[in-house]
Amino acid sequence: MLGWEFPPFISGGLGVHCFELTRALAESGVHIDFFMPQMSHRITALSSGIRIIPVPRSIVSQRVPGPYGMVYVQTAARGTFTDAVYGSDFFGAVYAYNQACVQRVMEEHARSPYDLIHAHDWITSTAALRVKTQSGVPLVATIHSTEQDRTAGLGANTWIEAQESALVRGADAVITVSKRSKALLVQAFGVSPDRVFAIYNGVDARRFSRSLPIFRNPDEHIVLFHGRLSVQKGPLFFIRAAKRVIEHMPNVRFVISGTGDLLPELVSEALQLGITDRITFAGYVPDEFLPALYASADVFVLPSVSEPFGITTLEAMSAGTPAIISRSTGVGEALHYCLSADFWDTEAFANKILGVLSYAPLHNLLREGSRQEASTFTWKLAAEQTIHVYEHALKRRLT
Amino acid sequence: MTSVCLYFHVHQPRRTRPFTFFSIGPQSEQDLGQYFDDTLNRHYFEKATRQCYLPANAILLNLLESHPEFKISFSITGTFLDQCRRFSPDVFESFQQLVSTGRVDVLGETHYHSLASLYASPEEFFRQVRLHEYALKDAFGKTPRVFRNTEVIYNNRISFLAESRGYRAILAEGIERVLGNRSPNYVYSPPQPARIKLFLRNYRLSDDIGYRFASRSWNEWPLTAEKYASWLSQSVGDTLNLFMDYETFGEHHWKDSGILSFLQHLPPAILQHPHMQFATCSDVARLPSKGEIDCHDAISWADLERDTSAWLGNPLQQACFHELESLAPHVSRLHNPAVENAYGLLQTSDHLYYLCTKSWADGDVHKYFSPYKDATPFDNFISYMNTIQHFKRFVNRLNSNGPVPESNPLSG
Repeated sequence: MLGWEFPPFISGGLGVHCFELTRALAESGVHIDFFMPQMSHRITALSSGIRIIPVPRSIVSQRVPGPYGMVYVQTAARGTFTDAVYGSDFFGAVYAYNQACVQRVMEEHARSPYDLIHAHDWITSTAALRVKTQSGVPLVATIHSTEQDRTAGLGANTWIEAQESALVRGADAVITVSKRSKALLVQAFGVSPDRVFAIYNGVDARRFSRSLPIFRNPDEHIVLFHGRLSVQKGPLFFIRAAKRVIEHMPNVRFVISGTGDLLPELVSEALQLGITDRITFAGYVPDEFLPALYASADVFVLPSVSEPFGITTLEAMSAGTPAIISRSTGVGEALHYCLSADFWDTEAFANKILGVLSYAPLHNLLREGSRQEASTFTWKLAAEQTIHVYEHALKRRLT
Repeated sequence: MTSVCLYFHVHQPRRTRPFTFFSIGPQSEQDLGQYFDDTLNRHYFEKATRQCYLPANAILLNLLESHPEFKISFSITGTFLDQCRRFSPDVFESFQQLVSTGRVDVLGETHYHSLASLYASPEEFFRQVRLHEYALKDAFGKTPRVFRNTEVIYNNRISFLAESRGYRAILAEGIERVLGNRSPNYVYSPPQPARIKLFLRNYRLSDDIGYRFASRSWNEWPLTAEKYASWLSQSVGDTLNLFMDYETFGEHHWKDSGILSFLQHLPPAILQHPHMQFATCSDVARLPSKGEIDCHDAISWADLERDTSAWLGNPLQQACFHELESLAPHVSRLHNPAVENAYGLLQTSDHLYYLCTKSWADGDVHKYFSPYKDATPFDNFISYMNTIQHFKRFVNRLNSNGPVPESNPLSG
């Protein structure tokens, strides 16, 4: 498996996904060598059947900040990247990593041949395609998000898009994290839908279901936004919906958890609307406080412009917090106990927030249903479905 | 002789418009009309008129003229009649024509097709039944003798309520839960001392038409009138009660399924069998009772459960139901016909049906009937509860001397 990050070196969903998926695959009897850039600390996989193979720093000459801009501010704040081996030239590092990766994978392949390569996102594209050509081993690629998703269609990097396109076209099978994402991919890259499989992420429900609502204030309802403060996640719509809610229900606090380059704009919007006293900018919330934050909220809101999956929805639901998400959030297609609206429709978001806060029977029903429904998204299931895709790719190679 | 009792239920709800939280503002009496989306209602009514009411009524009228032995029964809700006069006067006239043949029976029910029969206090139920009786008298010059409660919801208490309004018989679903090993093809009665008769829907034979007719995966597909008539002729009993939605003919099953031609050919095919005859519900009510049926928990003809869970199965539905029930005395104190009418229209069971969260097969049926295709039951709840809250405040404002408690029992 070719990856970019693995806990504790994570900047977003990709690392968590790789960690949970490899663990669940290993439990199902798949032996995995996980290739990733070498970090300053040694990483252990904690599961038998998984070998973490760092691609040596000597080969990777340049230093990397990370793929998603602001996310790395968070990571740095946690101290993981401050002493990492990567520096500022991100694209250079991606290039170097991919070069080195091919070499390392082929060495291991010569020693003990691989049955299949599984690559994650455009960032491993070059290496994956080259290994496939050199080894003749089938390739499965997971596309977690596309450049279109991440940039909300504004200023997409064409080189990254080219990498995505090459990976999607070159892979024997492609995995996306939702049917919505699959449809967008099929449309954007013109690949046959028969080669693309939607597999939902799992969620570690137990991690989120046991927290106490320690941030709760008895006089206030809490409505939570949690995510990167970027155009993609739609925090501006959250603030505009907040304004409408407060006009009708003054005792509501809107918590914005996360950091990102949109922060100044959000603060000025809140000022302009005159609701700064009702909005709390929580900044970066450490992982260990996250379950309590979800548990303290009465409603979780995710107004993403384009969201391939939206794992935070399941995290909130695991904590028993009703979720209101945009219709352009992938996980919504698989949920019943969840409200949705068009991301731009702040009036609809506000109306639904007010409904869930006002009517206890609705809140209670969603609460119960959310917990139950979120618990059905397991990594075990994702691993089983991934193995089916592996089998498909292997069969395709044979015929 | 075995009687065939064909009975069709004719109903259109007055659908409400999505009502946001921001609309729960100051109110005036004119505002009551804003609850209902009459553009949508007209759309549905005209569609059903084209697909079902006009062609099916024409077929039935023709059959009544050409076969003097043919008889049918209808239950026509008040919300249907009111909209029919407004949106499709020609359909209204054709129903009048049908009834004027003297061989079409009309049944009594709650004017608004509501769940008022389940309220703890019977006043609101009686008000709606009375209102429906006036409406039938006005439209057809007829007084109903047989009662058909909303969605065939039935229990001992409802039979008692119907009997106390003077009804001679009442309909119910013929499920094993109440029948035991007895056949639905006889007339029964509730426990003593009731004198009202009870007759039961033969759901297998009814659903062959109502549900399975157009299903190509059904091993009896295609169902011809002759084949169906031969099934009826082989059935043992005094009466075969075939109850279904009238919209079955042309709307639930489209015209190209052959359903309208089936309707046209069925009565002659039945009359080919010399031991079969047609009977109206009032005719069936004269048959002797075969025994008592004791039914405490309400049954209905809806969903697989055949109980009230289609309307009261989840806490959202129960919350709306109780809010509406609690308003009854406050509305009646006002003696304001416009307010009473809006109150009745809000109680139509369809509004609760759209809030159903049952996830299996029936969920799809609920979705099919919902006019709000993109909306989830939760969205529908918010909208409906917002409407009820708006109405409640309105009633409160008029009731200056004894308002409904303003503290909202829902929050908290």
